[in-house]
Amino acid sequence: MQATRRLALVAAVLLGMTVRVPLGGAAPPGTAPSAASSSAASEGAASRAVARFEEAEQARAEGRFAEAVRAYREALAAEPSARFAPVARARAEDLEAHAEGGFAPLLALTSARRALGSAAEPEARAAVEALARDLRGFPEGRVRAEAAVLVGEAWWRKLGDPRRAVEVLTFAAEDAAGDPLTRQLALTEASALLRERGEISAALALLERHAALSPGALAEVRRLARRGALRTASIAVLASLVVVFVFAFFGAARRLGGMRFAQRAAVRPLMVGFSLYLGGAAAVIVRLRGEGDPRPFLWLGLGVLAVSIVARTLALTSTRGRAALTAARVAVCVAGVLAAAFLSVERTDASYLASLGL
Amino acid sequence: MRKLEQVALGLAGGSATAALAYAFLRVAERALLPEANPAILIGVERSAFAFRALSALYFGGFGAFGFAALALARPLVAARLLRAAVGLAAVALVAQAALAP
Repeated sequence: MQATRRLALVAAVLLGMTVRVPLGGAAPPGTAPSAASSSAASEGAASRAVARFEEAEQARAEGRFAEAVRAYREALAAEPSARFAPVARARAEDLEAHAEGGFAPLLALTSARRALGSAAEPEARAAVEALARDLRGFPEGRVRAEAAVLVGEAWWRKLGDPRRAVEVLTFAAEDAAGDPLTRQLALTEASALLRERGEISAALALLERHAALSPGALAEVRRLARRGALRTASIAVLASLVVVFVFAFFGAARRLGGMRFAQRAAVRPLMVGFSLYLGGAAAVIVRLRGEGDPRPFLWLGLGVLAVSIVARTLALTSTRGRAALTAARVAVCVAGVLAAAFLSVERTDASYLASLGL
Repeated sequence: MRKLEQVALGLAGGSATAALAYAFLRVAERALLPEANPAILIGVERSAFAFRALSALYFGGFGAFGFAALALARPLVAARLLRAAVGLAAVALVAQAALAP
């Protein structure tokens, strides 16, 4: 009997812990709602949050950016741990970072982007022209540089006006209020465009003005500028050798009694054999190895043959002051061989020069 | 000097130059581009040893032409230089085998 009573008491306590029955009338104020009502409340908040997020997405697509920001923030406040929360937060922050001018510049940029993506060329060109006119009046902020990059890329890649593209991309790179990544993109695009047009010195000047933004591009253009300078110098050396050869050949012909004798004296079989070996054997080795371009070596062999003929012709004409003239002749011919070697590589496969910093 | 003697001097000089070139290339590769023992890799399709030997032969060709030209102009000088080149090539190969095998 006592055991039965104890058992009944334990059962009553357990039942009392699981069921909460109000002791007459309404619950006093300040007490927590029941589990069922709190579940209903959280479901309501989640559905409100989803609805606000969808409204925000709709507003953003339609260009009502201020409304979109408000809706994103309300959705996050209603349900901070929702699945869409990271997207909503990122979009709200992005819009707030582009809020200058009351979102009007951002609206202009978005409209132009849409027109470029979908409209025919006349409408796209009109949209780009309008944006190019308006962006100079945009307030300081990220949108101005992004709009300039959009206009620049449109003129370059879609509308075929690279000259105007350089100007506006330079404007974007020099816009101190722009996002650093946008400025860096504008700088590399502008320098790539200038390089494409052969304006290496202009590209170098632009990159040196903003060296901190894109040091990799600056190093690359410096290398190209060095290569261009060496190309000019090599062509000048070879052109000088041609002029010197013409005078020397006629001098040798006068000395030896005719052009045929001068020609026979200037072209030595051993030198011809060496030049052919220099270029031909190297080309064979490169082909055997299975990689690399043999053309630089073939052109090098021909270049060395030409320089050796010039050297031999000069030797036929020199008489007095042999040591000084010999030294000068050697220097000129060494310069000629180096010039021929550089041009033979640069004109055929310039990747060989990259390892030399050229 | 006869043509045959000139060619022989050229070939001998080229051989000495090729040996010198191989020793130089092997030391330069060991210093700048460390790689595995060539005796193990000799059967590999793109053997570094095979390429090094080809390169040494190529530079040996330069020596052959140089010695042939010198033999035509100054045969005695060419002969003395050949003797020195052969000795130098032997020393270089021994040094390379000891220091950078």
